[in-house]
Amino acid sequence: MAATITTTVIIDSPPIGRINGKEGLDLALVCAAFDHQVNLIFVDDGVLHLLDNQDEQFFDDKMHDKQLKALEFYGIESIYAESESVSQFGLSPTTLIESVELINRNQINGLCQNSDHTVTFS
Amino acid sequence: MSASISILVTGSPTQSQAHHSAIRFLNAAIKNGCKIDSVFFYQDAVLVANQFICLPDDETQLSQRWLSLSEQHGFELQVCVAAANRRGIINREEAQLNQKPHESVLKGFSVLGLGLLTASLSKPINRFIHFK
Repeated sequence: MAATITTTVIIDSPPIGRINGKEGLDLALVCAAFDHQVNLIFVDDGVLHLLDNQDEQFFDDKMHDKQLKALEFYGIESIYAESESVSQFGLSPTTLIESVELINRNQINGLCQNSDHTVTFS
Repeated sequence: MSASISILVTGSPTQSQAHHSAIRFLNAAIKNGCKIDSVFFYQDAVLVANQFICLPDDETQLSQRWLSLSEQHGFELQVCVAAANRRGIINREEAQLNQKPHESVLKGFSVLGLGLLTASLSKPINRFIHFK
């Protein structure tokens, strides 16, 4: 039986004004459906995808934060936010959705080194 | 055994060098005995598959370059259907489904699912390169 492929997807674009987050997430979901071990990592402006309680009425577009809260059901268990970016925005871990693990830049590098593929959506 | 290469292009054909770089890389790789397994277009890169692009004669005809390379070296030009639909690059089936007057995808580009990219990522024999 073939070894499990590990794919890391990194998103550094904000949830508004850029489609990269959505298209990055779509790839992560398809990889999970193909039984890849998926690491989904949000860095820089990307951490803004993870804010809890986003209010849709202020935007004229669909927010996909509900999907982010349910990623476990789609086979993505490892969701990370870069701790340096979270601090930079003055956010605390409690302002983010529950299933996110905070890791630092070095740890992210480690995850990429141990992945078969890393795809960055910027 | 020579390397088998899988290429992902996400950069815009007008706002990035992604396509030019990918083509230069591809040609160099083939010259060095590598095989091109597939080329996958995602995000704004799908715009290169628009049959209605009209470029001045003295500019690089990117779409046509991709078509010739694909034909010459036997790899598929794979365009992500979701990314393409979002950007108005649609095949006949999609045009009919959505009551659009016409298809827009250039013949020779294959519109298909993101699963094909994942399939390329799943082949252990492939080296994977991403051009933004």
